Amino acid sequence: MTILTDLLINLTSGFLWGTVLGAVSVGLTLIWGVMKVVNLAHGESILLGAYVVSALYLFLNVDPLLAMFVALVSGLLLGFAIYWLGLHKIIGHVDVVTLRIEMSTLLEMFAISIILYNIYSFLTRSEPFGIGIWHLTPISYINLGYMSIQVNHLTAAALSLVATFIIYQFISKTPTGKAIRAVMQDSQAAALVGINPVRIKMLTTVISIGFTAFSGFLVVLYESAVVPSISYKYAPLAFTIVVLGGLGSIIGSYIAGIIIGVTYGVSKVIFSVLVSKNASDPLALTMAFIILVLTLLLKPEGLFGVKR
Amino acid sequence: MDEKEIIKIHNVTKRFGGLVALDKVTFNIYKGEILGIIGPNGAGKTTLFNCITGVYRPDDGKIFFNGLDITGKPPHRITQLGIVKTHQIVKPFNEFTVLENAMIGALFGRRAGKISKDEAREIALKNLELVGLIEKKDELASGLTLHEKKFLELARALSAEPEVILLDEALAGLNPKEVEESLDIVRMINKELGKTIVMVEHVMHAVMNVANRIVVLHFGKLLAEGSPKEVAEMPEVITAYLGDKDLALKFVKR
Repeated sequence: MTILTDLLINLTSGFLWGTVLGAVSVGLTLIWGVMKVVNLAHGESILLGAYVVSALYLFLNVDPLLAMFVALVSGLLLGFAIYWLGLHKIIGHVDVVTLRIEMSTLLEMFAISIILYNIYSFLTRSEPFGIGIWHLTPISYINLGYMSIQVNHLTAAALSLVATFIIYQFISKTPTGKAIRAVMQDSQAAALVGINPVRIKMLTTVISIGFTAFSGFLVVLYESAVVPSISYKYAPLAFTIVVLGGLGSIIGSYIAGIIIGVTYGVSKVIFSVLVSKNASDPLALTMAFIILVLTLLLKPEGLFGVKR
Repeated sequence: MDEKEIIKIHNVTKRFGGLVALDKVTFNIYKGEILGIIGPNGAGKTTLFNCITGVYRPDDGKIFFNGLDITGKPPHRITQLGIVKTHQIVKPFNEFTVLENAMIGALFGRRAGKISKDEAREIALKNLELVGLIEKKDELASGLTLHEKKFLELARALSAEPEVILLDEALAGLNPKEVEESLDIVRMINKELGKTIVMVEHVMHAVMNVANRIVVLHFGKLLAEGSPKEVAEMPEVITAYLGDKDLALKFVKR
């Protein structure tokens, strides 16, 4: 296999993975951008959707394409619970969000993340759990000549695009979406034009966690099975992507996800040539975080963010 | 101007720690008037506005709007009832276009939830026309000058279809020509659209000129109330604020 084919293969798979990463980051960019809540339970919200779909498929034989809606609803409910049990008392008031409040919500989300993580570990005994070889079509691979692609990976990419498009339309076109963006820019000014910021913040949490759980379905579709610790792979990547894409920008997150995915793919090839095949995977993942550092240094507002 | 009060401020007190920002302030705002609120820095003018719009909850006292007790209601409810405020430090939504800014006022104003997007757009366009920003409707609000941003806030406030508009230092930082332009618009909104206007203002000749009535605050207390001419002649107002009687009367004449 020549380096060129190797590159082509990794570009393709990096791109497909990137679309999943993009969708995974959309929920985070919303809750972080609008609510100024650093959602440390993001990885566990992803896992919720992954586990709901997998459990329904394995135990009740529910088609994952139906179960993904249950994953969405489970995320909406989790978001609702997180808002009313956790965040409301801290941020539910109409005031300028200060760093202090950001700190306490951060700790709170950290606690929620640990609680969920341990529940998942207990229920699955930390063993891989997933929909395995389920696929949409009778064939599971499509041959492209230079490589064959898993149908599941294509399905995940397509669904990520559709879902991101839908939520983008909602945020940019509907009055509620406008209100969400208004609260993101200035919560107090929003209240003074008649927007109820408490309602909008609740809604944002619900939508954000709901979408994240849905994206967990894409993750399990891509990965076939998940373990609790996979949240430590996806959540930090999502944070990087949100910063790169620009806080609060849905399109930015999606594109930044693809950039990170492609960077991963390409650097994997480079490192396997320069260092060794075994070392290429962790080194390629490191590249994502080098991009994070570079973004913060050179373009802190991100690719599609607004300078403040 | 008829003599029907639209907002009643009764015994309103607001403390910040040991500082009494408003001390048992009582006065009425009448339907259809232009009321100017003046006073030295720290007199409690902005705090009063924040109490009326629900940003602060008064520690004591009541505020009525059309007979309805609105004390302590959240800001968005008060906006929807029909009192809007423009900010001393302008707060347009910078990431929205000029038109979107005005539309958001209409969408979440008095007819929140009952207004279609097309209606909201129409109202927004009408008000942008009125303040002279119609040509910039598709530009981002962040690109406007301070003067234009103030007009945009006014258009956004008007789009909420309020009965009362509170202008918090709308003229501060403007050059004389811009002040004149703004005053013309304020008069027009008052006369032709019939909106009650309350303005907190430091640009003395402007407020003395445009207002029908003046309320003077001093260290959180109501110091005087009356027509611009009456107020300018009151000795206590002159000592506390205006400084010199001749100068004070000059403001009124100009």
